[in-house]
Amino acid sequence: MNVFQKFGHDVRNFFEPKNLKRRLKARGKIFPIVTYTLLALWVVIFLAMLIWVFFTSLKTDYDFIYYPLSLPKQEWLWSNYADAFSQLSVEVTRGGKLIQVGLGELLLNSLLLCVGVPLFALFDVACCAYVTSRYKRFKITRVIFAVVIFVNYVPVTASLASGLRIMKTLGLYDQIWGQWIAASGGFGAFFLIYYANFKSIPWSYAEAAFVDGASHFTVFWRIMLPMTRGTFGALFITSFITQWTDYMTPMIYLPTHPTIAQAAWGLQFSNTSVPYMLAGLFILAMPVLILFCCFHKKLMGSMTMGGLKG
Amino acid sequence: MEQREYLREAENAAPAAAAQEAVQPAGEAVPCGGKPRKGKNASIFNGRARIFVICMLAYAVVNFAIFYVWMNIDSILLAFKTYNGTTGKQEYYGFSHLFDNFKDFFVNLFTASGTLPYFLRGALYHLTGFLIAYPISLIFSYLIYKKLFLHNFFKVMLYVPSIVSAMVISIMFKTLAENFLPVIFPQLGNAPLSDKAYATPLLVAYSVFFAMPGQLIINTSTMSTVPQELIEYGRLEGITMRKEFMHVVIPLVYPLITVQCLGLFVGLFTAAGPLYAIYAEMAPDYTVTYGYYIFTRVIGRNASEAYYGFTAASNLAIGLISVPIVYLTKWLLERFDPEAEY
Repeated sequence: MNVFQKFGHDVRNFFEPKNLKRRLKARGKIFPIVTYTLLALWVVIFLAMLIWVFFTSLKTDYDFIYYPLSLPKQEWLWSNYADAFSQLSVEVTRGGKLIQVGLGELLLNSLLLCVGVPLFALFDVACCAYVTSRYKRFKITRVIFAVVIFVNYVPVTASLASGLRIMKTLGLYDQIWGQWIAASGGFGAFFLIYYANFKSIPWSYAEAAFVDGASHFTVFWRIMLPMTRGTFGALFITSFITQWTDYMTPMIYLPTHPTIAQAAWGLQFSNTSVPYMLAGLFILAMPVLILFCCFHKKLMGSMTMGGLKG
Repeated sequence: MEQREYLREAENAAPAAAAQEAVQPAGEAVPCGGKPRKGKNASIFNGRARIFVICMLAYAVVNFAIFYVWMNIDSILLAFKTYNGTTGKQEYYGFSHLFDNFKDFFVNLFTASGTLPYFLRGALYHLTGFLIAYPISLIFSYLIYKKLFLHNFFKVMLYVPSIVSAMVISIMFKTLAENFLPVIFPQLGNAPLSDKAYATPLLVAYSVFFAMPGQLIINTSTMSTVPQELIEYGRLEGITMRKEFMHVVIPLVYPLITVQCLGLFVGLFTAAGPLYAIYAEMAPDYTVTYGYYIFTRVIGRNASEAYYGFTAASNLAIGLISVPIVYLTKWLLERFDPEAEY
């Protein structure tokens, strides 16, 4: 048997199902191969979906109907994006009249929510987390911490109807600043992240400032808060992204102040073509993807929960 | 004084602070955490600190009192009220009809054209996501944690669905299901999401597929805290990846798994899935979940204040049913707590 015959025999022998299974099993390779293939398959399917949607958003109606699986044949219609961008609008009733809210106002409403809600919420959370983590001598801070744990881990949720009633009673319904206030609870999910962050800052910095006559507020505002700017940045971006793509909250609580997310969502129920609708969705996703590309290290940074056993 | 000056002074004072911290933990350090100092500082760190703490917490406490305490109490009270069309107000039922909203909820549940299928469908979406996608999400996280080939690319791709929002993904899925899939599988017909035979399986497939990335960042970060010596020791012993995953990593991150499983069970009966994003108020009856059903009674064209009492009662009843389920799950998870083998 020459070298080539021997090589061929070995290869055939290796790939024979019975031997292959035995070899893979013996080397403990089945698990990584199967799971890695599953992961790769998931990514390929998702990527294919995104690519198909992107190319479809550049098609003419004719191409989309007659060549749904191919690349744009007639022309690459980048104007779908420009059109979708300029024509995004939502119909609302104001003072008994039906009016179209255009792109400018949609963008303004979105930005007011996306910037206002995180700013209010994070500042309030920072205030609470700081005193709760650093002023434990006061009973109220220990009580507040227990309340936060209860709120975050016990499944109690008021009905949506109650939320609407209370917002209307307080005059916060259909007001953007009303959303800033409603969303700025200090005991939410971000509390524990800020709490851990403030705890990890050495107290000696504050002590040096106290010795120099700084007030509690100065220590918080000028020393402690700037030291958590990394956390603030990551949480602000996360919250900004959530607000930007949230179409439900404006629909429920801000009926006459629609946002760009609501307009993009509504495209599927209007008489627009599918490529045009997909272009609208990409426009909505674009700022978020740009933010993600710029800050992906911060956003995908380390975050643990639950801890390790033992 | 500027921040950097404080920092410089703090660094100069570091040896003294370190000596102090040696006898007193950082979190409990003076002036606020430990015993108050005697002399001039004592008054500053008592009275002013108290005022400072109160000022810092005041807004959050008021906000909590309104948007959590009041809202939940109102929700409970609303369950015993009915809408008076003449006055346009929610009014308490008389004593003999006090539980009418709850009666409606349970009667609706078990009548022939009742809401039980909505419950079961919601649970189906949720449980398939939990039973199939959750274990896979842990495996995906483990593969990313092991830094296998292309792990950074995979990590970004798995994270993208949570960035571009469920709404965008849902609509993309809808477009794909109605325009792409019928070309490849003609038997699906023109609009499979409106077809009784295919709508639910497609929505289940959607729930499973997009639940697979799971909480990737938290999972991989928690896995990365597994002591490297243990992994090295296992490698020297010739442990396979499967054994490392099953007998070392999973048992060690079990507290995280417990928390996540409980979180998944909380929304078991109220999950609306992607229905509103895909159908708005026009979801076919054979796709409706209870969460969606309740939502469309309060918001949208089918909404009315007359449903408020009923939805509040449903919410309360579901909450009461969920609590024992959540705690039973917690008990079971703690009972089957695996031991790490090392």
